[in-house]
Formats: sequence, C-alpha cells, structure tokens
Amino acid sequence: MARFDRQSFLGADSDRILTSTTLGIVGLGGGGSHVVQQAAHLGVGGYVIVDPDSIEDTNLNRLVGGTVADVKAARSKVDIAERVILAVNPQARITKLRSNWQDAIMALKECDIIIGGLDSISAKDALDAFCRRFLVPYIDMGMDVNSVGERFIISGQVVLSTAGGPCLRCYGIVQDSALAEEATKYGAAGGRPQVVWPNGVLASIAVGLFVQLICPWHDRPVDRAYLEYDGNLGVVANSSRLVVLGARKCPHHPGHETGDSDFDVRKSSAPKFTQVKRRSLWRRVLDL
Amino acid sequence: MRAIFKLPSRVLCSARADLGRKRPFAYERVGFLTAGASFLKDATLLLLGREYRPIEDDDYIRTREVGAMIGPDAMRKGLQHAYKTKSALFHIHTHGGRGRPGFSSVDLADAPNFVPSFFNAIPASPHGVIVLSDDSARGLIWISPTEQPTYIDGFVQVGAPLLKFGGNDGPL
Amino acid sequence: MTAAEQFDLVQRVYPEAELWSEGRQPFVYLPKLQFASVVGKVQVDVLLCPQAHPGYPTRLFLSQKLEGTKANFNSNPVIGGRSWHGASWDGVPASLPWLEILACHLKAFQ
Repeated sequence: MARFDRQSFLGADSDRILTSTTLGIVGLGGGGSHVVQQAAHLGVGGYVIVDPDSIEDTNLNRLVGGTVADVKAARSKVDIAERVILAVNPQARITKLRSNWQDAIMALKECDIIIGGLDSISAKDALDAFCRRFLVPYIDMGMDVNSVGERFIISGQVVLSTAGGPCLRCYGIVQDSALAEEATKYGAAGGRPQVVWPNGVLASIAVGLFVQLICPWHDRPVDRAYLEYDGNLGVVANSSRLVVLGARKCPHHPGHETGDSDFDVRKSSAPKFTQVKRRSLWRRVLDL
Repeated sequence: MRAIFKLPSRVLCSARADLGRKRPFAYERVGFLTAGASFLKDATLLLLGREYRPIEDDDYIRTREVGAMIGPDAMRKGLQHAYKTKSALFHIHTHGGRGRPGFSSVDLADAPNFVPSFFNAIPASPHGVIVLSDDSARGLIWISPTEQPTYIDGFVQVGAPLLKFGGNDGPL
Repeated sequence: MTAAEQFDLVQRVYPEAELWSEGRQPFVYLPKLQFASVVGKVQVDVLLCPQAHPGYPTRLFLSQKLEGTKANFNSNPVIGGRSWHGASWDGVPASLPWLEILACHLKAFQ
C-alpha cells in the first residue's frame, strides 16, 4: 500500500491537490503547531509558516513538536514547525518567516488558504481583512478558559471566513468593544490559560474545514462555518449565530476592496510579461 | 511572468448564470468583470475578481455577423464602473461546453480593437478578455495598450470547493 | 462635510493624494509626503485614518518607522494591501477637518 492510500476517499486526485496546495499557518503556538503536524501528515505540499517567537518552557505544555532541547536552544517556533513538516514530508515547499504576519504579506498572498492561531482580537481582525482583500479563505481558531467562581469553563470556536460570506465581525468574534479594550492594554493578549487537548480539538476542526474546501470528499462542502466547542461537555456544534446570519452578505468587506489599493501596472518596478507572439491559426484551432 | 485570476465563487456563478441566458437576437451574451490586482514575490500578476456586470438587452446591437455585438453605451457603462472603483476590466462571454475553452478567431481579431482603449480611462490597471466554458476559462490580458497581450496562466474559484482550472499545462 | 468633500480639500493641497477604502472606511493615501521632523526633512508614504481606529479617535500611519524621533510606533496594521506603522499620538478628534487631523498627527515627529 502507498502512504496515502488510507485517505483515498478524499478523492482520486486528492494526493495531487494536497501536494500542490499552499497552506498558510499564522501563529505556531498551541493551535498552529497542531495544524502544522496534521497538514504534514495529510500530504500538504506547500507552507507559509509565520510566527515571531521562540519556544519557552511555558509553551511545552502544548506546542506540538517542541522539545526540552528546543527550549534550551531558544529555538524559533518556525524552525520547530519546519522540522515537523520535513520529518514527514521532505519534499515540502516551506516559506518560513520569523516575523509578525504583517511583515509576511508578500508570502501570505500566495496561500490558497490561511489558518490562524492568533491570540489578539485586532490581529485576527486585520488578518481576516487581509485575506478578504486577497481572496484567501481564512480559518480562525480561538480558545478560552474562563473562571466561574472556583470552577473553570473551557470553550473555543473555529470559523471559516470566505469572500462574500460572514467575516469575523459578522460572526461576532471581532467586536469594536473588545478591540478598544485590547488597545488599552497595548495589544497584549498573551498569558491566558492554554492547554493541549482543546487546542487539538480546534486544530482538527480547522484542518477538517481546510480539507473539505480543497478536496471535497462529501457533496456539501461549506464556504462558511462557525463551530463552537464546549470543552467541559466535549461537544462541538454549529453556532446559532451562523443560522441567524443565513445567506446575508458581509457588510464589512465590500467586494470591490480587493487587490492593492496603490496598484499601478505602469510602475517601473512592475515586471514585464514575456512577449507572446500571436499563434498561427492552426495552433489556435487546435488550442496548442 | 505569470498571471493568475482568482474569482469569488458567487461572482463566477453570477457570470455563468447571466451569460448562459438566451438572447433574443444574438448567439452570445457578454458582460464585464472587474478586478483588483497585485504582484506576488515571483512577479506573478494576481488578479482578484470584484464584480460581474451584465450588459442590458438594450445595449446590444442587432447583427447577424457575429455572436454578439455591444454598443458604445455598454462599453461606457462598463468603463465608468471600473473607473469609479479603480478596477481592471475584463470583457467576458461563454462558449459553453466543458474543458478549457479557446477564443474564436473573431474574439482574437476583435479584442485588440477595444481592450487597449480601456487604458485611456484606467491606465493603472491591466485589462483583458475572458471566455468561459461550463467548467473552465481562458483569458488574455494586456498590461499596456501598446504591448501584445498574454494568456492568463490559470483561474481559481474561491469558494466551496476551492477550484483551480484553466491552467496552461493542465491544472495549476 | 462628506468624506468626498473632505478629501477634495486634501487633494487641493496634495494633488497626488488618493482616497482608499478599507472595511468601507475612508483612508487618505499621501505618497512620498515630505514633512519636517526632529531628524530633518523626511519623505515617506503616509496613510491618514480620519476616523476611529482601535484605541484612537484618528490615526496616522507611515510606510516605515522613523528612527531618531521620540514617536512610539505601537501599531502595524495592513491597509490597502500594505503594511503600515502607527505612532502613538492620541487625542486628535475626528471632528476636525482632515487637513487639520493630518497636521496634528505630524506633530508627533517634531
């Protein structure tokens, strides 16, 4: 049997499609590191992996692929992710950027789909807007541990944001009040409780949404999703918000806001096309 | 250098639905597609579909000589919208059928007569023509009014599923 | 005044100005704007946000951080497909004419 025979139900062409796909993973912490591992095992061929940080000891409770040696070496999260990918798929095409995602937009524009594991609401909002502008479906993961008295509630969600459909603002993931509050803390969103198994659940949901977009293995792939995770009950369900939104068009990202606002094909840095001579009639007829 | 055209699923579906409708006195229906643009790091030109604009029945010219002919009002309306939104403008029609379509000899003779004029109104954007089949597409793009056009290397339908088609050498 | 009217006034002073839209919000793009700063005359691309941006009533973004000024660059949004840098300069209300908003924000570098 060949390596991917057990996933042949994804479609006769799924191996080729997965190999030719470029997946962007922004944030390689608890959620993103799971996504990287699963994507590598699936056979995804192209990666743009972005994270500015190095692994610390406090990450070891959840950063898949991270080791004690990595912590000692203060290894970057992108290096760890690259290692995880190449160990399973040595032919993978990897663009790794040890930076904030805002400094990686040239590479991220090339992605077929981006999965985000960002903590900050403003970062999620901005990445979603970027993905809308460049028509890249965006899958966002989020996890929270909240205290109620002396007890704790684990919750999370995974949403799929695609051009024309609900965005993170439509879903209520991004709200102006939360942005304003975050701004008062100068954007600091770290230090929140995080643990490996809910991250794994959410990452798996995200990867599942990714796969059904590019290898529609059932007859009802979706271009929008809001799946809520109840970590106490171990239940994942469609959010009622998705039902309420229905087929409503996103009011936050109009269709005409695509491409670079300052695009000018006349700019001297714009490279020229290789001239293509007009093909002879017989070539045109035979479409050669 | 390559050119890739990404289209939101609903824009492409809207185009196919309109272009597939019967015309009372022409073989083909045509429309306009607007797009934004960007360059990727390997100098690939990325076109990002914005909107499909149908051409109203009254803006067609009755003729038996070609599949469809549109009048100056249709061109003006298309250009006006593209100018307002600083968009690249693509004339689009369908040949139906399946597989990657080809431009007819009339398409190839005609397009150089009007596409370069799009630059008079919107010089900063590329412009072109697209022909659809029921499951694929072919496109020609001009990056200046004086240079020869080049074929679009492939299309991506952004939706569920995410589909790549119309590539020069098979799938993208 | 409408956004179009406000922009018209800006464009009279800066003919190269462009009106951008991000999330249906207007932004004023000023390519290669020259202005005085504590490190001398500088020329950078500037993007004016004449409405609320998280935590601020209005905002000014530059295409690059300016070294040598006291400005605290605490924001790095992507707008119009480009990455920008915002200095922390608060308290410039959106009720002002856009040209005044621009002038107030440029004081952060003086």
